Amino acid sequence: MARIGVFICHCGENIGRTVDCAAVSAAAAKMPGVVVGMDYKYMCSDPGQQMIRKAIIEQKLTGVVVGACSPRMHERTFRAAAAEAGLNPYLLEMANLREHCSWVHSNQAEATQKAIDLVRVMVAKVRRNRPLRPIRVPVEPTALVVGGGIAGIQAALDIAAGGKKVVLVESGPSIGGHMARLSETFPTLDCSQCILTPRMVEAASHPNITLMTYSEVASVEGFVGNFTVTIRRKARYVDPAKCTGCGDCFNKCPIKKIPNEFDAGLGLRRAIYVPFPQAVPNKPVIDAAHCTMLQKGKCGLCAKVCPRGAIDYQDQDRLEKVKVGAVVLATGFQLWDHAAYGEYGGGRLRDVIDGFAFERLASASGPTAGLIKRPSDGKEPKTVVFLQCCGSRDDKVGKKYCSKICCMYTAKHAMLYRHKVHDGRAVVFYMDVRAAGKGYEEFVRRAIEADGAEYVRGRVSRITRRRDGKLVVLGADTLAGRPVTIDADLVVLADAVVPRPGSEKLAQLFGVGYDQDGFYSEAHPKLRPVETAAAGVFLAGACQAPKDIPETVSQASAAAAKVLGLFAKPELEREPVIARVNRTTCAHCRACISACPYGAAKDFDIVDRAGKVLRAVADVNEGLCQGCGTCASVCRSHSVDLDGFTDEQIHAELNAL
Amino acid sequence: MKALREAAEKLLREKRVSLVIGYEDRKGRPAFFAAKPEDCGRLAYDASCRQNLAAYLGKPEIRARLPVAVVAPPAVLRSIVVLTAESQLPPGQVLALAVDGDSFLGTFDAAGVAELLRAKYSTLAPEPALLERVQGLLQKSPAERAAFWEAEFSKCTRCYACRAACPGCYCSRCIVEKNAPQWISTAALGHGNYTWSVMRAFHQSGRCTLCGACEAACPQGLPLMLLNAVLDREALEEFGSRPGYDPEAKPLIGSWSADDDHSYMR
Repeated sequence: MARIGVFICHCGENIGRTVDCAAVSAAAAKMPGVVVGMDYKYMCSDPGQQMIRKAIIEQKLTGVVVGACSPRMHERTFRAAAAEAGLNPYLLEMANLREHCSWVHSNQAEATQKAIDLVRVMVAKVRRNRPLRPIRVPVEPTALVVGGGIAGIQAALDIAAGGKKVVLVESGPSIGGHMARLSETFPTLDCSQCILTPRMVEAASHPNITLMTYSEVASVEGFVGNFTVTIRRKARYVDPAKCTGCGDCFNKCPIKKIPNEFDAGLGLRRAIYVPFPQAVPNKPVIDAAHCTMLQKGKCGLCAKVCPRGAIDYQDQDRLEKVKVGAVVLATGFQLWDHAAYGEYGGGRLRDVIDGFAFERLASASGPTAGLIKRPSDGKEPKTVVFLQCCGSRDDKVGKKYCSKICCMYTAKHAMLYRHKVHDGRAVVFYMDVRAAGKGYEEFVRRAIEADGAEYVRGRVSRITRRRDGKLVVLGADTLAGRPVTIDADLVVLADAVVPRPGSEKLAQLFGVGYDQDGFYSEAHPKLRPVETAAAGVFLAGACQAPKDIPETVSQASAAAAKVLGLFAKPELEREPVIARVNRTTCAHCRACISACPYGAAKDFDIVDRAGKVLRAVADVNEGLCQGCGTCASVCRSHSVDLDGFTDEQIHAELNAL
Repeated sequence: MKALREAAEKLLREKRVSLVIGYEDRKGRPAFFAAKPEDCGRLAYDASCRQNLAAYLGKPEIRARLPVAVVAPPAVLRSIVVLTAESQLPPGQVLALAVDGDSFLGTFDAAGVAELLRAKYSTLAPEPALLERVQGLLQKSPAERAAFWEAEFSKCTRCYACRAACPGCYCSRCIVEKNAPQWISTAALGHGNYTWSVMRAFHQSGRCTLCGACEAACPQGLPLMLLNAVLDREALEEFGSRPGYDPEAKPLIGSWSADDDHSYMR
């Protein structure tokens, strides 16, 4: 005989405001099989859980329904409480009265009726639940970190410091990411290179870290604790084992006029190159698209001058498999292309540059050795206009969101410019100054008050180039309520922060969700900000949302802590929601086997006692199955069922409505 | 006809098969099972043969007598390839006596069948008369179409002749016979009838070779091929699926690739 307990949570006012919780618990108490119905303000709190535990013991409950929030939120909490009271945790189900009811309705009578229906559905289900046991799988205590910017470096170092192995994969020839391109960093103006490069060296030399630069994730198999990731090691055409980084090759390379991506196109590099002198590893690669030897078979100079014979024009991309237990995605960001703004020159005006170009102009290691010179004629600009929110907070042409870092780096740019060009004017157009952070507001005030940056609240409507080379900036000062025209020598656009190209493809490989802008989705915006919906895959840095360095580093360390927590035990307990095949009715059409994304469904021979094969059927490997249910949905004879979500349970739920 | 009979007789005489499944030389061309060489004189074939003999390959009585040979026009050849792809035919246990119109094309094993189809029938298209009927149906408004199908399905007596006639329906326990829980009502009434016919056609999508056996078998004359033909067209246009050509093909419903269109995920 079923003895079900129903517990209705008010969730403070979240549910209680719209749903009459007392009425729901009273109605539930009268449902067939239900022996107790209660409601409480916060069912997830200690007194709430105590109510459930007490009822399980005193009423000898065989099943529990908690009407509260989404199971994603607290199913684990309540199942743990049930287990403490001696009930198999999988005999507890949740009715989602918050996300599915109170939050989306306003009429109390109707919402209460719907809540009663949702509870009735779960009561019908839980009567057909079976006790299940968690599945234990071994964990491979190696982490994969994708992206070698500051987020990836920090996560890798922290995991390595915890004594676990890390594979750090970076698509470019060097680690360092965007941070290596910055001149100084807000709000302290310490040199980016000085704080980053030692960490790059540490990451490369740490015994627990395997560095794979010029490499990309090609494919992913497996699941939390047991991923097999195939890495594409792109052809470098330089054998890193032989190369000493002497530089003879790139000093001799005759293809000299390639815009250097690292310098935002302001400097030039060769066809064989290291992206910047402090690169890690400090070993060149050949850019196959520009090398005449690789394109036409003519030249071969670098091979001739290399004293170690490290150049190999026959080099090919290689695929390498790594086994890892957890993954940190730290693929970072790029700047939105302001060519979409025709009114700002559509990307064609050479002296209208983005923030990274200004960073390189201001950087001691940049193409101008830290002198501010404008790209068109190399002259020192005497008036520089900075435009904030270029592409941000503009859902017509650009992006709806605030890119978060631009207010701060624009203040920094204005400040650096005034430090370098004492008689120059720095004019900043802004919509709002958002300087929320430790020492941030003080930093912006310093730019305005001590360093004389002129802040104008308003938008710029047009930038045109006059014959004499001046950029005419037409804008509005919305505080003074009048139009403004400024003759500028250089314009710096604070372009929106957007995800890297290819980040969506990568998310699909790992089964990670992303939002409409392509930023990776966290499992819960408040309580699980570094986890993703894919178990064992964590996030760090600007691939999740625009972030500055302190925030990125904090999140990278948080992701590392999650990885180390996962690796702390040799085995992992997994939810026993897995598929089962009914061998009696399986026709062995193999649809489930080809549909299974985890390789869990496989052939199985039914043999007699003598070992003779009687019949082949499909079978499910418990360790590999993730309970996605794809097999059940493609089975024409419904011979596959999902534990915890059986046909019988779902049918009972539907019939209860 | 003579060549077919001789080939069948040879297979039985040489004991390469224990049974030849063919059509009998009498009105209606019913199925005929030749177990002895001397039976082969009763085999016949012409365009009036509508039964898909590959359907017998799924039956336990026939499986107990493997290896067998089947008289197979092009649509049946394709059924053999579908069954091979779905691991329903033990390797080397089924031979096809390929026929087309009045001519006998020879004896083929599974690999030979696939090769013959690729060489000779790669552009096999649905019959023009069928396409005309589909066009007629699609010209109706959704409401008219719903009324049309309601009237048609109301005639169904749930005899499951369509299922018995189809080589794709080889499950030992059909979903319609599942009773705990019972998803599809088995009473020969409106909703259950509707669900049955639509689901039966859906289970054939990406697998149906448009042989027409189901429609020919239906004692109530339901236009089942209309459902099959529309699903066949969808499978071809949306997914480039042409069932019955590749013996290693992955099932259309039940396979995916990382390159599939993900745009709906936004």
